[in-house]
Amino acid sequence: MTCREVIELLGDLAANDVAPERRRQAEEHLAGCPACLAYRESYQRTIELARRLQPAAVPPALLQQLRGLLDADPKAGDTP
Amino acid sequence: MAGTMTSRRRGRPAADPARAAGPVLGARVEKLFHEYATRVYNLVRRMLGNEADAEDVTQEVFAQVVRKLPTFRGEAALATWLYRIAVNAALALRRKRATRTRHEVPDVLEDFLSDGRHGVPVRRWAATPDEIALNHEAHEVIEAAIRRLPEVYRDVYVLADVEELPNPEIAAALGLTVGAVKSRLHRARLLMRNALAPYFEEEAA
Repeated sequence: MTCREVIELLGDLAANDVAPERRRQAEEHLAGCPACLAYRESYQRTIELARRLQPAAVPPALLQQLRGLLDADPKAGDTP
Repeated sequence: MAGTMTSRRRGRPAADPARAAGPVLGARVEKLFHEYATRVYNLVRRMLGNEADAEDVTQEVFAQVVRKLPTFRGEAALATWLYRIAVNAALALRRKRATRTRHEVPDVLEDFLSDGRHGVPVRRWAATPDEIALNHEAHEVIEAAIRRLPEVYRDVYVLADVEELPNPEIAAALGLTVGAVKSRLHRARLLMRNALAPYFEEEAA
């Protein structure tokens, strides 16, 4: 298996979506290829970084407008 | 729909009397509302690449939610339903804009030689302890890289790796096959990986 083929397989490898023989071939290549090992590590790190992204806060004015949308129902009636 | 919300209001007195003057959603609903507002806002912000559009589309999404909630029969989870509306609203704005900015997409496969070996040096990334939250700069670098992704890759990437939706849901939301989702996701990750490498690589010896 070439480096290029291994890199092409990284997504499926990460998702455990590879036939056992192809996985074996990929792991065999990785065991002897520092460049692909480093690449796979950075690929996995890229996935992990996305998961750690914090959401930006919703601008307060927008939040208020959205609240207003939820509350602006003519059938809302009186608070009990 | 707000009728439903009203009937869920517990008769508890508001802890802060000043808040009772404005729209009162009740503590549990408020928490859900805040969570979903945050998710929708950030999803469309990343899909569209700017905050002004994100604000407009988020409002549009919630207006639709208010209109459509009476007909929501729980065929899908509420979150799935919300995401679907949000994705459609973001895509609709793009279509309306109709400016096709042609992105120069580096083909990551160009980095390989004809015999399949790496054509550019691959450096290891510096170890970042998992427990430490990403700092502001790292966030900026990642968000900027996402903005630079071509839209076809960006949409899948944001839904899959940032929002962590399952592939079949992403496929349904974007009108793609699951195979196409996987393929685009992989391309997106390769592009992201290359974009982030200069920032995260170990210093050259």
